[in-house]
Amino acid sequence: MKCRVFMEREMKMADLVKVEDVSFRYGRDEEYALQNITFSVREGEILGIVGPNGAGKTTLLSLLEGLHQPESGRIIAAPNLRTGILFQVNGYFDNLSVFENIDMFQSMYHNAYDFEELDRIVDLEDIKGKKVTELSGGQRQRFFLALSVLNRPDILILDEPTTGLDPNARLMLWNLIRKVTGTVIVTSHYMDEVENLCDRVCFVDKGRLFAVDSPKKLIKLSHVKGYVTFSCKDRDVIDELSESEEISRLDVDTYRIGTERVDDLIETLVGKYGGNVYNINSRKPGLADAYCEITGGVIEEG
Amino acid sequence: MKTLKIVVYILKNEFRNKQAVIFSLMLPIVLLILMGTTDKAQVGYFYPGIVAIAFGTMGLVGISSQITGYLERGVFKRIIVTDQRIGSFILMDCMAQVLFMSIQFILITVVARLGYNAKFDIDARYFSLMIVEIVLGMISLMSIGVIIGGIAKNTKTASTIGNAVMVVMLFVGNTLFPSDGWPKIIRVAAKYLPMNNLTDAMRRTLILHTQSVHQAFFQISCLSVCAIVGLSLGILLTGRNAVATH
Repeated sequence: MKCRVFMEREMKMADLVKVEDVSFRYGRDEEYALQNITFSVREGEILGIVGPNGAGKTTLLSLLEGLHQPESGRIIAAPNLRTGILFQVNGYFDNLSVFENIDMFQSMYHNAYDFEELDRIVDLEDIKGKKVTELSGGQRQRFFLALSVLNRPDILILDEPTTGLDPNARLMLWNLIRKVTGTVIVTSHYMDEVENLCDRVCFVDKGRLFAVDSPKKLIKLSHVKGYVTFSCKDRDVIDELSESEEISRLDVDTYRIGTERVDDLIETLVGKYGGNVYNINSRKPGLADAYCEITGGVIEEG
Repeated sequence: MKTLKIVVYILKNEFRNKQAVIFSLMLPIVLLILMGTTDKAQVGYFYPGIVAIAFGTMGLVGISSQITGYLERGVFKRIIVTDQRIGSFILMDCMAQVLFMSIQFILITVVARLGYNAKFDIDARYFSLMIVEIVLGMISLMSIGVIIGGIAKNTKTASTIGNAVMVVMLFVGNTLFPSDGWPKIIRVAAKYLPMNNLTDAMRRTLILHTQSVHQAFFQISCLSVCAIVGLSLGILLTGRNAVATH
């Protein structure tokens, strides 16, 4: 990790990076982009950072990457930690092929993989002769991932790596990410992806860190057992339900109720309001629900 | 070895941009042909000016747009996280441009000499100094381009500023037209401009036979100061901009 990062040998072996009470703003007159952030990154884990646009995710990553310095607090990295980074916008030379780009960036590192080694990890054979502009979305991310791991990183920082990719390409990329390095910090808009793939997740909103834990534990923090969604055009029914339940409006005539008693609620909806209520569905709470409850904010996927 | 590899790749990347290559190599030749059609005898006189225009197009407009393009497309951000310093990369980029401009220079010289039989009355005493001044001229024009690239918000702005600076240098810098008509203060200031010193060195050495040690020292000093200060400032500004645009 470049820049002014404190290196302490007394750090726990399991922690690769420790972020301690870090605050940051882009200018003295600006609002804080990050405030009193504290968490650690453990060796071998995939740590997700989740939040809406403007929450401070990319700023947090830029501090971890060493591109900015904290205004207060400190970031402690394990000695000789090598970091690989996949940005949201990744630079490349547009008139050079994949092979030539990799060969060129490889010359900018002291101890980088050569193309053959990289090919064995990321599988670049089918795209090595193509220009980056000729690649599909998935192929392009594979190339950017190859650039990110070129320096044999101990930790990989990925800023929304799967945004804009189709489900197959997302899956392919995640399989690769798991294969290339042990420790990963990733931001993503896809909550299902974060829930299924991350060992721990940070909930960030308005520059503050609200929670860090495993997806299961975060979901358990939710006070509801499940969610019932339904459609209803009758305003009186909604008003009547509002007296006993907390209703969220999802669409013009689609509503959601979080409840401790899913079966009882469905029975009531069907039995009492059957004629006016339709499209009834129930589901268990997910990470997006936990995010909304814990931060009080809303996260839109995709 | 690694430096050479990067320089070669930068050149490769540039040469594969066919439109840019054709434009930057052909424009000075077309200009030379147009001027030669009216009076072949004048080609020798115009030749240093056309070389300066070619260098100006590459140095002031090409480099500034390229630097801003690197900033916009995240190339510098990618380089920042490698073990390579942005400053060294910009210097490598400049080395590649010096090679590109050398090709321009050779091409213009060959066309002027063979196509129009331009008469060069070369002053052998100052010829090697003139070559040094030509290289310094390339670097000093590029250094202004790097500064423009470091401050411009986007490629379009960089290109506009680069073109504006070039027009000013062309008109007040004794490049193609005499600067006698300008107010004294402008004429004095223009003496220090890189394009003026570049064309002055070439004209005095190749055509007028009036080059002197004193003149050469002045030209080299102006070009060197512009190159060193410009590159240092440009690298500083670009480095800051690269982090800020993250």
